[in-house]
Amino acid sequence: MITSLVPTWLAQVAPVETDQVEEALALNSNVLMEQFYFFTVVIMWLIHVGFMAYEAGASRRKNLMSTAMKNILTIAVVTPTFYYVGWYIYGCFEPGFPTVGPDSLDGHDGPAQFPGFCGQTAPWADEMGPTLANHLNAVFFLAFLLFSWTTASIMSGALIERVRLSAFLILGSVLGSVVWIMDAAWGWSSGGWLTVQFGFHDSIASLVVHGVAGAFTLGVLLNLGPRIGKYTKEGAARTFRGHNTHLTLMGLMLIFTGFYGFYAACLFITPTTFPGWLNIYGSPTTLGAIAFVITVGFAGGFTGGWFASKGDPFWTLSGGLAGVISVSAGADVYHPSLAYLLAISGAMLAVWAGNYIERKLRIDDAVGAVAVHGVCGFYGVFLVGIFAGGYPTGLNNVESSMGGQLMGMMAFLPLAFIPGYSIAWLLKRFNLLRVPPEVELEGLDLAEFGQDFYPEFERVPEVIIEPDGREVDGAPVLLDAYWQTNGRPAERVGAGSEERS
Amino acid sequence: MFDAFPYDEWSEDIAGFWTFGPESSTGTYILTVLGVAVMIIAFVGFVMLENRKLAHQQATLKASGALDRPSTGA
Repeated sequence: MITSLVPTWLAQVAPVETDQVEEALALNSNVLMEQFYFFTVVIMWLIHVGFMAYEAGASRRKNLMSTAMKNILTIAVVTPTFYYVGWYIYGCFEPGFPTVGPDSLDGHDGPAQFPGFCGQTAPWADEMGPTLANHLNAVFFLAFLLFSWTTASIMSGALIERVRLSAFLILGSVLGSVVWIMDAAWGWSSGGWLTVQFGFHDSIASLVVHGVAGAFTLGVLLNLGPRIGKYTKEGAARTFRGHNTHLTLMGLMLIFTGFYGFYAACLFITPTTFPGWLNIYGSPTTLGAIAFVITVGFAGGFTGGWFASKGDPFWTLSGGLAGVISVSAGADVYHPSLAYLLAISGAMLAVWAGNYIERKLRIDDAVGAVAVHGVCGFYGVFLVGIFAGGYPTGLNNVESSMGGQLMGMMAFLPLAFIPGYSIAWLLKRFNLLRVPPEVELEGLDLAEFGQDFYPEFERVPEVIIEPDGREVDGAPVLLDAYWQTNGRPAERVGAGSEERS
Repeated sequence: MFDAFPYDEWSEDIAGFWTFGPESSTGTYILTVLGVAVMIIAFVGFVMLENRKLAHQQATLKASGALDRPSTGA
């Protein structure tokens, strides 16, 4: 059998021309790159498995499935919106907002008039279908799609237990398929205006993914309001216990695992075009360098979170996330020791910011997303201005600087916050943002799905932790809060007027 | 290069079927419009279906009186 194949094999290994060898090498290179991005996508799915477990565990038993369903349907809505809208934004909005007209040079007249990357991102372009001529675009699109899911999922946890599923899907689509990808076009691409003009440097997306998601989420939370009973009449914060802390912690560990795929997908490798790895701006780096920083970042983050929260399990693991986010912007250039120190500081900042947001500002962020992702995302790009100033960024090799970093922060804060606040305000006006208070008290699962999702376990009274640490029966507390707010739980109680008892 | 397998030739033959014609063709435009329309309808459906469920459950709970404030001091 084997001997019959030898003549065929010999014919194929006969002397070939140099251009044929180069063609074969190019094909191998492209297929290698295609596989690389494909497997980063597979690994990044774990982020969404993790988000679902993390948020479901952090919810009370009565809201388990409604919480998980947000994460599942994120995939259902962000995928088509990103396909039809988001990818085109990334390809065509690098120069900024559209300038339409005969003198337009930036491609906003339409993809047909712009033969480069922009022209490949419209849904009807060859590269957006199963073409055999392009190995990169489809998997590159998928990697960015997974970033979009992640961005929307960051907001998801903050809103649990009172937001309408449909409202979240609308908000998540805007965040995942418009807002974040717009800022990625501006400051997370080799040709973005922030990159080529100001040397803005955020190599693994501290701000363009995490910070922006946090700012958008803050705008939504200001309209959504706290969960019923979250604050006392004096404005002190109660604690609602998640129904399964083990599930939450496992979810966070899955997110961390998926982050390695996220980090890897932020790099380029095409051996026949570039001699080595490139970051998103086209600047040389190595896969090892960023893997080193992410691992050290977790170590520093866990350490900082542990000490800042005095050993609180939730904040210790969230500290790991905060630590990594704080060093992501400079992950391609930081020394591991520097990353370790900065990650510790970022985690400690997240714990402090989380407590401040909950207790002083009285904003009910159920999982600390604004603190961990928002605050640490902005902190991360600020740190690059301090510790990586002068590093050449982008195709123009513009030196990164504090000024460039601040320019990015000033551009992205309103880009994220204003749409989040505005759309949530509109939904609130039409009474489509929040579930009715009666449904919130009873639990969303019975209204949305008509069942309890632990049918084999007896239901026990809900326990709430009062600000002074006492554990009390939740039912009277929640009912009293319901009566006090007169069916308008979105009103914040005494924000900014009372100190925590 | 691939003497034993006509990959390039087959690729050219199959490309037209895979993409419903060349880029920016009527076929790809129709598919895009259909996809966008279904996506928008799905969004409207998510909102309406959930609104109906929540309104029904809210009415049921209010009618049951389970959440009413007691008339005498508790």
